[in-house]
Amino acid sequence: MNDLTGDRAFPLNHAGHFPAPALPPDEETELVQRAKYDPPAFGELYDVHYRAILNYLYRRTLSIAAAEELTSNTFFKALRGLPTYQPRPSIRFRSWLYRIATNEAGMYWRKRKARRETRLPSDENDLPRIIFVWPEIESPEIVREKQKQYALVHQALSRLPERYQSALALRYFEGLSHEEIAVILGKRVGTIKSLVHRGLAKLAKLMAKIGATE
Amino acid sequence: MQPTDNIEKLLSGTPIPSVNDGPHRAALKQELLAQMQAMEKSMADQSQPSGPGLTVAMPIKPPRHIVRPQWIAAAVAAAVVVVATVIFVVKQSADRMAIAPRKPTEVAEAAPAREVEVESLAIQPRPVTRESLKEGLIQPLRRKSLEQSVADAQVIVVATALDSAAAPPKVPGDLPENAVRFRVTRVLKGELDAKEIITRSPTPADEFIGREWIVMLSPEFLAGRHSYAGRYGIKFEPEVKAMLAKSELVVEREGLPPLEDEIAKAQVIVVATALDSAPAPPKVKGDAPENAIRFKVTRVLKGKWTQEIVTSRTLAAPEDYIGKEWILMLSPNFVAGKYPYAGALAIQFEPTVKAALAEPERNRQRRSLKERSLEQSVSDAQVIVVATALDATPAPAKRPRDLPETAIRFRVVRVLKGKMTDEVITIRHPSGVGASADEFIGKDWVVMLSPEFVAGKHSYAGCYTIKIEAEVKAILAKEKK
Repeated sequence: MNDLTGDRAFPLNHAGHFPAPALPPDEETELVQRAKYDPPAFGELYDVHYRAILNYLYRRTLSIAAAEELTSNTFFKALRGLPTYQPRPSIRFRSWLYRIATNEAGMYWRKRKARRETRLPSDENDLPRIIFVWPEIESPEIVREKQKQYALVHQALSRLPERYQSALALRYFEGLSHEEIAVILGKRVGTIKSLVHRGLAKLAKLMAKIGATE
Repeated sequence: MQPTDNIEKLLSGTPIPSVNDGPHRAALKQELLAQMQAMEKSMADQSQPSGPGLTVAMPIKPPRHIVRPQWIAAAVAAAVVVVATVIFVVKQSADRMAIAPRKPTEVAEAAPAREVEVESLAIQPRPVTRESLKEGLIQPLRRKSLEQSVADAQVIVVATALDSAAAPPKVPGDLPENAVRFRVTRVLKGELDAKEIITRSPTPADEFIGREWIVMLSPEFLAGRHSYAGRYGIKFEPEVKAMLAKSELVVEREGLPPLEDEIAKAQVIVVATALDSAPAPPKVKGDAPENAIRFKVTRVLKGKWTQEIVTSRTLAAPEDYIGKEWILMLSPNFVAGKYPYAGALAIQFEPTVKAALAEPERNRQRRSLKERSLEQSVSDAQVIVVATALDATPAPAKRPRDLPETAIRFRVVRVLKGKMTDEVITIRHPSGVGASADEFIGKDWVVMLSPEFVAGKHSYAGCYTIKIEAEVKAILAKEKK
């Protein structure tokens, strides 16, 4: 039986990183409320979520420069929108930031498409700042090799329609639950499960085409 | 096997890159905070009376698609207010005022604490300018949270809006405002003698009248410096009450010994109402004046107590006690008549006292021993997280000939204490990779990280079974309180 539609625990041997844990709900609510008028509180929120957003956008764009620019846009938009943001148990602050970041990533890819840029923006200069699982034992060669593996998957993923890209990236690269992805993308949980499943099928076809399924 | 299973495996096994922090992190933070401060400053500038020479810098120019709907909304709101005012004025002139205009003396009676006349309200609304319309975008930044409003208000009441009258503008050209009269039904915070209050509001009066509101009165309002009061829907009453109860508990217990100890020491605990007081004769000549307060016992929570009245000496002002219910803690010496002072605890603590009393003494003693060591660990840890053990590998040796150690990766699920920005943490375990490592994998653990771990000085952390999470949370809640 195919259990992709179930929200099972993530495979334990998953080699990726996971998003920063959200603060406890009551603490987050209190911090967000303070952040609306208190710069140091906003700074705290920023510190908690910066890395997660930067990593997410890097994984979506494969360019540190682009990820940093989009991270800036995300946080500036969050700052502008914060007064109207109401923390709710169903919409955590992290999900809200991911939503803004996802929109930014979408806009980035649409702009690239409009400019007919097809080459992936992977940059050798980025490598010293890239880390995988065991930073203390990973040589530059290992990092380069792993980066290539990721770039291959990313290349196939970037050929999918945007809605599939977002759903798969949030599910498999960020390790988020279907429920949280539903909040981020503003869709129902059932729709997300279906998007993920159909996205996987489409990706399988694409990978088979470029001979990367092995 | 489904065709998607292979691709899912591939995705799950794909190494996922992360980016190390660069100078961008600090630079962006600085820029964001500067932006926020500039916004705050511009708002502060805008709150001053506007004059011809006043220019307001708008640090953030929102995109057009954001500006347009708010501008339209503000314009529509202004148009509605103008139309409503015209209708109101026409109706007033026809009916010779549906609501009789209150005389200054009536207003003074209604709100003697501030002696404000409707005609002499202190704050003048700013005329509608391009800037003030734009301000709608950033106004919510200034809007305080409910919790902040509750904390800031000197008096909070539940009041029914009775009627309203048009409040004359302070400056020609000002938008019309309404003076709304409220009848106070109950006081939630502070003290207010007035039975009625009058507040000024730019909101159309129809939205107020006949309904109950939570009205928050600032110290400035009570001092008569302005006539604007915070108004919240009655549905927030339980929330406001909970906030007030919480803040009282925190304030009341600050700097006092643990409540559990006091409960354990007391021979008798009763709930009693303070009836009256009288000056108590000094025990020794030259002693500070004291009062004896008579309490009427309403119920006994612990021990045996048959007398209806308890009399206790106190150095505190008796007005703080009289008419209120208290939890009195009577020590063995007090019960034996050797000591005249009883411990008085605010009535809000009754559930806490009852809960502590409900626990069998033996259990409490046994648990307190166990808790003490856990309490120490919880207190010493800078960060405590619940984390799932992902995998284990031999840890790279720090020095040649070191005993084998295992590095275990944890995915942080939730943070119980402190701040944790890392997605995955790796800790060293002083044993080789073997069967014991499998005991870790796939399970949730409570991981306590010392300040040294957080500072990167070592990689060892305390791992506890997930069963203690509730206990850790309770200890943290206790610490917080």
